[in-house]
Amino acid sequence: MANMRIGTRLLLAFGAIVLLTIFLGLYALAKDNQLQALTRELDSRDFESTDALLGISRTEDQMRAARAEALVSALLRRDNLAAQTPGVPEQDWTKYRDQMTGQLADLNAMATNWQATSLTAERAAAWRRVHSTVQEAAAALKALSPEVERQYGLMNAGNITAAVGSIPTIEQAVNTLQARLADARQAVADQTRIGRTEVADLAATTRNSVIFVLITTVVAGVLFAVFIQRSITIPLSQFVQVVERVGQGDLTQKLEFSRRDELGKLGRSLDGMVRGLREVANQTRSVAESLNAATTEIFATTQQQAASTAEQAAAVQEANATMAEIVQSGVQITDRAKKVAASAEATSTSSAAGIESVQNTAAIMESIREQAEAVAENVVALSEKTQAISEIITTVNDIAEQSHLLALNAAIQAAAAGEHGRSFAVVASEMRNLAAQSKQATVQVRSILGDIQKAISSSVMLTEEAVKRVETGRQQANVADRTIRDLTGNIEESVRAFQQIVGGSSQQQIGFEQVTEAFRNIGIASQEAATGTKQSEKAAANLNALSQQLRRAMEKYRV
Amino acid sequence: MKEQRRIDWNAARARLAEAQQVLESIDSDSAVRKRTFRARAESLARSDKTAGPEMDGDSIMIFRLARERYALPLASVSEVVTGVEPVPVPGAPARVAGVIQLRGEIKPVFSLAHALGLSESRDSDAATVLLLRHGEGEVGLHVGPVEGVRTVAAGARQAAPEMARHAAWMTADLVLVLNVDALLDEDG
Repeated sequence: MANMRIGTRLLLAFGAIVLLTIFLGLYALAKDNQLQALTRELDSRDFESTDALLGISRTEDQMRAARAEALVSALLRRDNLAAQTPGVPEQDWTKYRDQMTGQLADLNAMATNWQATSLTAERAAAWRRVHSTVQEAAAALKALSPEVERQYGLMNAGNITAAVGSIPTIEQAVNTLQARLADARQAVADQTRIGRTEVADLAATTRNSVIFVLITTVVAGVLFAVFIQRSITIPLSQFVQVVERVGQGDLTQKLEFSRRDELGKLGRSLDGMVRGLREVANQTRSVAESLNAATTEIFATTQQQAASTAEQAAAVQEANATMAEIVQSGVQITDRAKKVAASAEATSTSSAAGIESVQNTAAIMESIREQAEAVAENVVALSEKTQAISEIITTVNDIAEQSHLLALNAAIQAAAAGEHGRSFAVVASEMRNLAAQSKQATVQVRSILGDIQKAISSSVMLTEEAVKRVETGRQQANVADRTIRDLTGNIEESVRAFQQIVGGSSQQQIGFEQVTEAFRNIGIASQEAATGTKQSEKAAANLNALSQQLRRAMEKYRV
Repeated sequence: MKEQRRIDWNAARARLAEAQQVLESIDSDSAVRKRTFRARAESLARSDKTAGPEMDGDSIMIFRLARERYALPLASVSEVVTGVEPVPVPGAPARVAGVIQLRGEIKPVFSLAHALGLSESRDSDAATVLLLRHGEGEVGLHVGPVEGVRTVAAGARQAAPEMARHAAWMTADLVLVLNVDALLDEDG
């Protein structure tokens, strides 16, 4: 049982109690059903038999009344008191007799039937007695019947006296019948009484059984409760003891439960917890030692920090002075940057003018090139003119040579003419001289023409060179244009940069002022830090004391 | 840096105008004409004094050949022809330079250089053919350019050196005057 889980234990206990209760309920229900069946039988059969007996008594009264009426009517008829009185009707009495006979037979059949289906032996015996008494009553009726039939015969014969004389005999038979009927009633009453007794017995039996089972259930529940209480509370009290000792600082406690239920688990967990607490206490103790050492160091460090804070305050003051100088130089930088930006803008304007003039220069170079080319054309045309002159000179030279030849031949002819040709020889000589001079002149002209040609060639070459140089100049102007444009772009960028510098310097000024303000705050903060450091020193001392307290507190734990 | 050489445009224009004026007035300006005529007169006067033809003496025609000057008696020369190149004749002797056609007549031309034993150095520029009277007809002599005609006084004649077989005599300035017959008839 010790290894069974508590839940299982509770389930088993409550299950047993519930089963007992269910058994009790079922038993009570069965007994109740039996009781109800008995009561129903009592109600139906006993009342029915009583009713049948009452009907039989009523028929017997009617028979008696019919006999009396017949006798009265016979008497009246004999005394002629009633002329119209019909004859004595024997049939009324016979009819009632037959009715009673049927009723008795019915009751007898009922009793026989119920005897067979009776619930108890006693009631069966009672029904058998009812059956025998009813048979006796039927026999008494059968015995009465001839007497009455004889009386009716006497009355019908008019022998009233004999008829009256037979009355006592009839009365005796009637009394017998009535006695038998009384016996039957008594038997039925007995039967009823027996049924009631049985019902009472059954009720008592049921009550006793229910009481017994109830007591059994209560006892079982109490037993289960005590058992469960013992199996749970004893370990719990052990736990409580252990936990109280642990709470007092004794961490050496152990439960060492070997149970396998929840309490065993709880015990093992408690052992684990105590083990963990022991480790924690060990660690805490070592930590407290370390903390003590650390707080001592903190104390020393805080004292150093106090000294450093004082130095820091001095340094902040120096930095503040330096910042003021930086702010002053920042103002100068801003002013100079503004001046530079202004001059750069002026330079930008000048470079625009420079671009224009360079473009003009390029245009002028172009026109110079065109004019130089025109000059070259003219000079080339001049060269062609000198060529024409040269051709003319060639012609003149040819003419001079021909004149020379003519003069020679003329001289020959003059010589051949002898003395007559002497004067002609003079003419021929003159002609030859002229031709020689002409030729000399043409040589001079040709020489001059050569000089001119050389000069023209030189001029053309010079002009070509000039055109090339003009082209170079134009390219240089283009280069200068591009350069100036680049320069302008650079200058504009510089202007923008300097404007940004100016803006940046302004922002810088603001920033420097903020920094100065911040330094002022830092100075204040340094003062506060000095104060705070003194407080820290105090706090470190307190911390040191606290850590020693902690160490002492940790020594309380036994591990 | 190059030296700045600036032209004086005013001076240039003035010079141009002057040149134009000179050019325009060359035919009409009497001063220029007078100067020219003066120069010619002086030239004529100078030539009369130095190189004027002597009235008395032997007239000779001086010409060049292979950078030497030679002369022929003017009387033996009938005509100077220039601008006509002798056409070589196949199978002709070496001393015949070729033939020329002159006014519808074919004339043989001899080579003076060959005759003088000089190497054939043609001065094709100024190749001249002298027509010489020889017997009944005329023959051509291929010579260099003709310089002119001179009259040498009889007393100025000098004897030719012995070595110069074709020379008849020599002038004072050492010009050999050739003997036409000796030249032409040497080899028949």
